Amino acid sequence: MPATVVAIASGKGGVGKTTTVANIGVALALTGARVVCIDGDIGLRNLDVVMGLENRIVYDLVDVIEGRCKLRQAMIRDKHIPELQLIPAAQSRDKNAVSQGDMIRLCGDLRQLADYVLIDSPAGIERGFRNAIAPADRVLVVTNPEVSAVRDADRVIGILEADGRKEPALIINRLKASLVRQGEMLSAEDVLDLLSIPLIGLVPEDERVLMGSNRGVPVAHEPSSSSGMAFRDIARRLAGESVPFGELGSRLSFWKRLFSRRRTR
Amino acid sequence: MSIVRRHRTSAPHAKERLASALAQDRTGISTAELALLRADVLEAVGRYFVVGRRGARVLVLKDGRKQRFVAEFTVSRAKARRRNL
Repeated sequence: MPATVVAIASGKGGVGKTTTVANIGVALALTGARVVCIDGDIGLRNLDVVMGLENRIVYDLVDVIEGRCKLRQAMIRDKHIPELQLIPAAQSRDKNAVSQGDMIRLCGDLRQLADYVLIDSPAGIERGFRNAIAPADRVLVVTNPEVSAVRDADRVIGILEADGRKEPALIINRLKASLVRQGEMLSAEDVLDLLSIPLIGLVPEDERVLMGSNRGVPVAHEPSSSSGMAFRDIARRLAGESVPFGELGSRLSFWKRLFSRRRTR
Repeated sequence: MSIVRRHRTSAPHAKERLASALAQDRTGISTAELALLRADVLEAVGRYFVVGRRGARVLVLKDGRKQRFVAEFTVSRAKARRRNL
């Protein structure tokens, strides 16, 4: 079966998009799926360092597009999971080196080689973003429960709607359950109410995400981490499984949570 | 004055501000333009009805990803119609 092409976008930078791509890539590959991650941020590549593959780069996305290498030569195999591969962005070129047509052709070739192609879109809503969504069958929008990130996510969703694309799905990243309960952070319900698109992932704030990035080993490798578990849940939902979200990010009081826990026993 | 002042948490404030900003972004209408629209609608309705002291509330409400324009008036009675219309 040809691959599903998934673009991961956000509008605002710094919401954890690249980390999300790396972790969903790891989580999908751990299930045995063949996954190719593409860094779509020409000139500002980062997916390679988050995945710990920065020392293995010989060719990049622009080399493939401009015919300096074959597609397979630019695909870097992950150190830990052979099913996971990366096509890095060019660091010394500008975003005009790639067009929407180039991305559609590239992903067309990759569809025969993988089960999932994940494209890390650059921040913003300009050329790089348009390139990332052009070949995508699905778009995942990443946001933080924070005013500017939600506003920019809404802008991205509006552009996707205007393009007549299939409804995107939302990932709420860096949710702090304690702050939500204190009423000092937007809850998942708040964000969903504002953006009105389906939710595919709720990722808690977790210091192990940073540690994983530091080591070049995404947190989805760690079975005991809460964020790693959240990324693995996203991968399962992406594969069509129905996975419940739990109570993370809900503004239920201590007593209500206690009561609902007792009821479900 | 109460010694313990009731503290309003920040998340509801963030949600209100976002709802307003998103309505403006999605419709492309600013707060100033909305005020002009309110005055225009009030004037138009005022030609037919006696509008109550509370006047009009003009709101852009969220309806999923669509926006609903709602104008609400307190009216006491219709104005006398001119016969030569």
